[in-house]
Amino acid sequence: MTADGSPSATDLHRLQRWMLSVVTHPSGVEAGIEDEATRRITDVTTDRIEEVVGRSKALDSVSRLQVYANAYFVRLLECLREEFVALHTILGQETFDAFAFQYLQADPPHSYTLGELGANFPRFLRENQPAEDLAADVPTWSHLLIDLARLERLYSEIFDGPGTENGTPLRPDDLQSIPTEAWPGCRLKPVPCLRLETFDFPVHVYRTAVTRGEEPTPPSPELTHLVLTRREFVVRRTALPVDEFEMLGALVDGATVGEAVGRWASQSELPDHELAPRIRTMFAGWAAANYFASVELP
Amino acid sequence: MSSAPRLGHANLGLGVGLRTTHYPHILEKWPAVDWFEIISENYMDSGGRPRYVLDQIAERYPIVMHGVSMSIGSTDPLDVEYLRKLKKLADDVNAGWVSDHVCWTGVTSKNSHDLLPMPYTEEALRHVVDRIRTVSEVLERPLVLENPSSYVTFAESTMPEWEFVRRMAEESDCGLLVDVNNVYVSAFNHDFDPFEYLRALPMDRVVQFHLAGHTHCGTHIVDTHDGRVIDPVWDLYKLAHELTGGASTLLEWDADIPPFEEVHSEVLKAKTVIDGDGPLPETRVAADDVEFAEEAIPHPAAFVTAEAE
Repeated sequence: MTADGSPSATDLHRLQRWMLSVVTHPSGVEAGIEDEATRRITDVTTDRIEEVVGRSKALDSVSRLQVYANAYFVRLLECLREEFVALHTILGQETFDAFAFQYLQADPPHSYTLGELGANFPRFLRENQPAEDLAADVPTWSHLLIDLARLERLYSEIFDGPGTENGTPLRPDDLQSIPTEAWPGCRLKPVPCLRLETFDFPVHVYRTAVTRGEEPTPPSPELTHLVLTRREFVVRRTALPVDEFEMLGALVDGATVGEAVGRWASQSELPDHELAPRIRTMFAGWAAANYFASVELP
Repeated sequence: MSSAPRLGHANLGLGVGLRTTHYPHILEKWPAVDWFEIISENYMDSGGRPRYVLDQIAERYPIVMHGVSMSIGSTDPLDVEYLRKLKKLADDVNAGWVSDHVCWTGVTSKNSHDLLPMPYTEEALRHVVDRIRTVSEVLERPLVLENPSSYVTFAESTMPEWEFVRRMAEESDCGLLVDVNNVYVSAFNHDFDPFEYLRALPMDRVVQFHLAGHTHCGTHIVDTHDGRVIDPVWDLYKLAHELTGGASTLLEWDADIPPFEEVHSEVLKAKTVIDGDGPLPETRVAADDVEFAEEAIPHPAAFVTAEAE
């Protein structure tokens, strides 16, 4: 048995690298022991495994290592199935697990928290999207899968991130108290859990149906602009028309109310006398939904 | 080095592991539970409901923190950010103490999210003792470490687990969380006497006990936390109680979790042992009654899913 030659490789460090390599090997314990990379750490073969791991009266050494190996992927796959429940539903377990299994090999867990396990899953799916889908004129099945993964990851981030529950977000009455002449120069600060995201499919509807125990059919393509936030510790999502979505996005990006409204009004097809009531309705609705934390007066 | 019993910590009585599925019951009924233990990692990054619920519970019950990710035995550097968050949470909820496991969870920045066993060598002992001292300084409180369930032993080990744990506790001045079920599980898996294990521990350092169910696979036992405590584990608990004079006792139930009252009633069976003169609980599970499972997966870490409309 030889170490890998690294001067800093203590026996403990070498043993830990060897064991982790063995019990997380995608082809199982025996393949892990025999793997060239593993044998560069500790050059032991399966028939000599007792030089490293002892046997018990009832179980041989390889079978004992398999307790850890069996648990590794099963545990992580269970977590991903729970986080990406709609993606799991639409794919079915076998296909979902195949994607997730590849993901875990490409991007094994590094964080101390399982909450980060699925953080890069949407990106992994996007990076492995079929080339023909990337060139497609219309959203494809793979676009739908990526949309679902994006949405479900956003839900996790918003659920665990900072929220508004312990604060006092801006209410409709707060907006009404702003002097009319001050409005154009105001900037509205969004709450920390507010996200604006565009999807090729109405994946939020599909996801909600799945969590209600329904058996929804996969959605058809439909450009969907979602505002996501959290109220009372539950993730909320609302689809907005594109013009409202863009105006809200401008405000979130730091535009003054005057700039955002002016841009929206210049593109609106509403008659002039309907613009002001429409703006009031939009802002009151956004404030009621706790989208803004505060207002910065000019 | 000697210490006051339980490192000076109080005996909190009989507690229950806080699990998300029991939130509604606890918030509605405020049941008469002595104390709760939380999985630290489920709360230290939460800015949402889990943390909100915990803050309410911490106002009414003693809280103890139990982690699964410190990786005290790993040869990777300690995760300073993790320790900083752990300390903040402990301060925020006024945690009675902070515990984790005598194990490593990963190396070379890869995390298995499992409690992997240490080789019981002098090198490993020095390594763990040094890190316990560092962690205790960062946390500004003595660390409490639990004996894990394990499924392999290493040829290079030069001492039994109980000697490693005893020397680790004495040399680092840490506390011990004795998981009686883990002693039973590892004793079966590694062919040692669990009573000898318990008698070898420095009982004045035992701050807490864990009880749990497990899954017997015939050739080995897996620590699944998915059922009742079986008779032989209660027998070990009885000895541990006698040797220590009593310590805070907690039941872990992490899979196939029944209603809260059922979990609570399971830990309350420990009163029979503590009182010492009552009849044994009729609902105890004898070792002979255990059905063998084909396979089982240990679940040391819990995953909290998002709530969305």
